[in-house]
Amino acid sequence: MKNVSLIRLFFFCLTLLPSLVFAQFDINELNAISSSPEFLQGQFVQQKYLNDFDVSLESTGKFDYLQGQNVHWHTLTPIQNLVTMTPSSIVSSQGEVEVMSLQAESNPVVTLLSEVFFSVLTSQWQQLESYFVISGEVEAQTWSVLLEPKDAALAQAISHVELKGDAYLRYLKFYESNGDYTEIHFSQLSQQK
Amino acid sequence: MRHKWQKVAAVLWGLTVIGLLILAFSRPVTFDSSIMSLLPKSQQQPLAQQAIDQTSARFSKRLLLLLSGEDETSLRQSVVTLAQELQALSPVSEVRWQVESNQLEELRQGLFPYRFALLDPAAREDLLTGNYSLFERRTLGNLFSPLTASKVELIDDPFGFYGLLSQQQTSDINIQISHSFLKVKNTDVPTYLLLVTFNQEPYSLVMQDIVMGFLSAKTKTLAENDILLRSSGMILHAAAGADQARAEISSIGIGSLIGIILILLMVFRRLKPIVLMLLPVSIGCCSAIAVTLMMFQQVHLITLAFGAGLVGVSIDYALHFVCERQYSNPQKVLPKILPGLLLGLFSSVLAYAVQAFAPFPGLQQMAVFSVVGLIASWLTVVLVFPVLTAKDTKISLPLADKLFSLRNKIPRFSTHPLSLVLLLGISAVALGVVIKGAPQDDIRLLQTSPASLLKQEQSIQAMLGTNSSTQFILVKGQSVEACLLKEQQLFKHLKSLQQDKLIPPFQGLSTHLPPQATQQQNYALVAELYKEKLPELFKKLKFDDARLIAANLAFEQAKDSFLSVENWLTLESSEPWQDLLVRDEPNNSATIIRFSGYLNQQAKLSIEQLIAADAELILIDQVSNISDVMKQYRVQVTELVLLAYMVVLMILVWRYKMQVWRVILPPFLASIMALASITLIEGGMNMFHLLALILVLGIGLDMGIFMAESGESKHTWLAVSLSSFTSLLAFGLLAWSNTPVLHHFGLTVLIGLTLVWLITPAMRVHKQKT
Repeated sequence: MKNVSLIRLFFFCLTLLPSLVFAQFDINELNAISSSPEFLQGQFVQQKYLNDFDVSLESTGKFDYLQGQNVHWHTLTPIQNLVTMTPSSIVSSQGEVEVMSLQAESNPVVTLLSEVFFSVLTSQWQQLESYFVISGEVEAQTWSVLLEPKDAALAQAISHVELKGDAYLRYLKFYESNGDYTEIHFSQLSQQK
Repeated sequence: MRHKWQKVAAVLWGLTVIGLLILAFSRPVTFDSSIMSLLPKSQQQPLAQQAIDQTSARFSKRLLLLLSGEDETSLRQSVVTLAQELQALSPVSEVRWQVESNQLEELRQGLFPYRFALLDPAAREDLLTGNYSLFERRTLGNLFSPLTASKVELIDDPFGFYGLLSQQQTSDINIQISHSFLKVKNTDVPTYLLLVTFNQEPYSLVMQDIVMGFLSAKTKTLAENDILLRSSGMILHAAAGADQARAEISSIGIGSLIGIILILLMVFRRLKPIVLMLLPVSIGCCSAIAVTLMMFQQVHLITLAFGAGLVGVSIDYALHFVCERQYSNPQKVLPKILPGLLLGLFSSVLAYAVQAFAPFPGLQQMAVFSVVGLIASWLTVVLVFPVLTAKDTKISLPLADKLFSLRNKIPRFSTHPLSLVLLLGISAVALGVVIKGAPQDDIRLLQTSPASLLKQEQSIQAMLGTNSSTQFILVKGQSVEACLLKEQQLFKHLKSLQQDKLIPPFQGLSTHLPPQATQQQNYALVAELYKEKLPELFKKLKFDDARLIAANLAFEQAKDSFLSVENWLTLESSEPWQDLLVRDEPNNSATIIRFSGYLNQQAKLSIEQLIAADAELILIDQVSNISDVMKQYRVQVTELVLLAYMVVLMILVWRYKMQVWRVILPPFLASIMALASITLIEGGMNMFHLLALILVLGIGLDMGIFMAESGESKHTWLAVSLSSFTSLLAFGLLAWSNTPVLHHFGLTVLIGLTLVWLITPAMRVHKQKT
């Protein structure tokens, strides 16, 4: 009797193994598929869902980034708004008017968020790994990934992040802790300036 | 019969001393090493003093620790362990090393109700100029941007005033939050900060031992794991000062003790005179410590060093007695030397006692210490020595003859007029040097910290972007509200100075807590914005009227939310700025405007000009304040030294009539020449040089008095010479101390005493050799 239950336990353990192996997500595999070019530009469609009001705000526009230098996020509809992110600042302007300017050094939370956004957009998996637990799956030439914050301070702002892509990031969804989320689809990606 | 009385007196005196010691040392003895406690409390108004105390307490009770290492994971683990271990130390009241995840939320809950009243300065400016569309655009920009700095609360705060305000509420140090830890920005190697607050001032030696012991052990174990521990805080300086004093007491102190014992052995070639010599000095010192403890509750280390020096003069009495004893019978010694001893004691006690008139706590302590010490050792010589030496046999002292013949080689003025002219010439030149020389009253005199420590301190302050300067503007007023309004007015002018790069950036209480009038005005300004732009904004977002009503209602409800001083003090966010509020009392309130950089002479001048017309605004600069205080006391000590000379002169005139110059001129001329040398060597004199001159005066007078009283005898010359040598060894060696105060003292004694010893014989009456 005793022996039988031991054997059962052993088999049960064996059935667990494959799933354990699967959960061991391999960043190298991800690195092999996704590329993070020096320069990238494209277009986006963004849906921002506000939980409190149950409304979704759609915007479209174009973006580009220069690895490690800056990201331009140019909303074209329904308003004109250009956000320029560098590792040390975030500046938002409409036409000639600068509506917001944040210096990273005086604003630790903003620094953190912009660092995360930078890393997501440019597929810096190593960098992201220091902030998030990364899980997901890789299939042939596409991948989908879930990021869950390791850090309590970060978890205050971000609940989790979903990412999908192939060579490039094609889709991302930021879930905020308050139930709001931001969903972005990328298209017409190009490395040509 | 007489012998018997002597015994009774000796025993009584012994019992008195023992009683005194038991009384004083039954309580724990506390030594103080803070130089600041020697300085008088500011003579300015109590408000200024309170502001200074508050600002320096911020620095003195804190210790900053920086941990640096390549491996972030083990580094963060070390931060946690270190914090826990620190927290377990008894002097530590708080260790900060992480941001609790709920802290941001707490900050928000504290400030959010006041979002319309507090307004950050830029937003206020935009509202004042009617730049309303900017606010609408900002909200829309935030809503459509993928990334927002702060959540847009479309009902409670559609124009994001709280967001703007919270971005202003950042700390003024170079720290970012990384994985909840406090990480120093822009460093080559990852570096984390721990902020330790103590529950007491860092001058207690016990506390220094606990904290410094822990830190040095920790530095070692962390270094084994490739982690560098650096620290900054007043306790390091206090401990370094105390350590240095202890090290020097053992090196210089033991060196001079050995020297003294060797000299006495050479002269007396027996042990007993040496023991006799040390007895009155040690009884003097112990009684002095005892009485000082009883009067002042604690003894300062500097008092101990100086005071022991002054009491050291009492070795004169012992030497005088013991030398005389070798030539006279037991019963004749005391009557023979008593007039001289009495006069010597009287003049020295008077010279030291004048220090008590200085309104300077340190000087008063020293006066008590040295007067008590002198009297106690004098009594020991007079009461105990006759009993202890009653049965001694006379011995010959060959060195007395040698010294005597050496003395006779020094030219006498009565026979060598040229030497008199020469000496007076030198003295005149010396006087000129002293008068022309610029005194030095720099605070660096009080600086005892080793250069390496100061360097580490500076590098840490540079990394964190902090400064520990105690320069600020004190704003006084009938109420805090009045101070805040005054600050606001002044800010306009200060801002233009700042734009002209004349002064560094500044912070005032009104930066964080605007006056009530301004808060009300702010709310009214926002009301205008709501009327002009809110319907338009909501229409663009396609929100219905119910939401517009809800938003207007939320604004209406915040109508009476103005931040008062009491409420501000309870806010989490006010903690770094609370020392900007000095006092909140009707008719007697004060606040501080602090600078985040050093004010140079030009900056101070331009601020002084700005505030000159207003008596309620005072620029305070503690560094220059201390220098001013040092100057005042140098002047006072000069006056006291001169007064001491005058008093002594009067007594001596009564005794020696026209011959008085023979006694008073040697220490006087030696003092002037010593001061001239100091001016030339050190570039200027300060009060510690002058204090040392009191010792030179004491020994110099004894020398002249004993010589005059004994009729120039061989053994008296031996006694006073030995007294000079032992004092030179005991205190002249301090010239090699690294503690500036002791160095100045020692150097003056070294030069002054040597000169006294050389000049005194020259002034004596010339006798033909017999």
